[in-house]
Amino acid sequence: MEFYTMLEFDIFTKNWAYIFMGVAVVTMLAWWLFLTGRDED
Amino acid sequence: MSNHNHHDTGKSPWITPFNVIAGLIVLMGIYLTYLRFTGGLAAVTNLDDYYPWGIWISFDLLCGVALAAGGYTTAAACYVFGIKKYHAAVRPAVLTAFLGYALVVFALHYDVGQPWRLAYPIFVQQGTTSVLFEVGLCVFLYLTVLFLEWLPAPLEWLRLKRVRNILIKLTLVLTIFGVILSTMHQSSLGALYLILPSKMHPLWYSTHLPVYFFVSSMFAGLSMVIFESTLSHRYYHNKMDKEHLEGTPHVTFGFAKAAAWIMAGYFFIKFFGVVLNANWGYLPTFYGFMFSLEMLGFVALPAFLYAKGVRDKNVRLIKWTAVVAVFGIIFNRFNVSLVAYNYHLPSELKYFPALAEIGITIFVVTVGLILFKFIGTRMPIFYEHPEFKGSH
Repeated sequence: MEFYTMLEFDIFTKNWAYIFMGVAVVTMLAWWLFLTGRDED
Repeated sequence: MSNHNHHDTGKSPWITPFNVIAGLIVLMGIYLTYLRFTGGLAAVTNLDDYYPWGIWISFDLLCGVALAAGGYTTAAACYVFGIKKYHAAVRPAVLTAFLGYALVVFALHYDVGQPWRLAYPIFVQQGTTSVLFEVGLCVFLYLTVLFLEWLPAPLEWLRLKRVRNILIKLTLVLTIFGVILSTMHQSSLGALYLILPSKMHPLWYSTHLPVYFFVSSMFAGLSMVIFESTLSHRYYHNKMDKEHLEGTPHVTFGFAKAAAWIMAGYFFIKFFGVVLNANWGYLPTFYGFMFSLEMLGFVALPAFLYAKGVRDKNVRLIKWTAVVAVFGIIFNRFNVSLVAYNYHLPSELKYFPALAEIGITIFVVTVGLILFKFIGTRMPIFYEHPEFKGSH
């Protein structure tokens, strides 16, 4: 990846950060369900 | 009192494998200490101008502090969050933390030398603009707090009721103070490396290093409590009372679940570090391999195994996972302080610890084990003293 301006770098990294934040929210929810799936109470 | 053999203070023989090995290590440690304090750092270490901090900081201090985090996590769970089923784990965790921090300070003497000046940064000349001053102040205060938290055990052993009862009343205040101090210095240890943006590999350098250090200390502490509990059950089973034995499964499953949850969060915030700095290009390199091994092998894998252990009620799996997690924290702290640090240097200038340095580290750990054994076999750590039952 080549970045010629700071703006290009920011747009690239922030775009991916927003996408992965969405992935993280969904994954953490699934992770919680997996972790507590067999709790008795 | 139950029929457990609490007061078997020992007609056991002095010559045991543990005593012989520990004795030899202590003799070696005394000799190396003599070399260090008469010949200086050069006599026993491979430290130089490129690497002023070596294995004593990486292991004895960074790992020591992270793995001693079980003290604040357990005390906070029991006294601040009111999860009383973890009560049986508090005293062993506080003892481990107290000894851990005491040994951090002990080991620091080997690095800084001139032990009579150890108190200078606190009482004589405060460098209030330095992160290291904040770390020093917090460790000084937190070691005092841990000493006070641990003190009821020897006071019960010595039957000094009045002082003991005053200290018990301070438990909540001390716990809160301990959590605040831990939050501050666990993160500040990561903040120490913020001064090195050009010397540290980009995969580990981040302005969020303090957050990474603090969050990882939480699951390091939880894993260490599980690990320490496994060893204690093996060697001190006959010292444990009913409450301790019944409370252990709650601690194992509860702490494994908490660790799995925190590790998942930690995995993501570390991952966002790669994303926000666009560090993808470094991943197919040696450093990328080390970083991926750390994140996948020592964070994601133990998180999954903890979760699997909790779901399947598999104590054995959780105990082995705690070993992996503890090793993972050691791996992370070594990666930050030695592997990522000075990554641009040619290999002939890189640091590798001298045998004497490793010897002193083994000596420090052995002193900790001896003290733990001495206290664990004599004081009410794994059982409630019959005269103070239910009063804390």
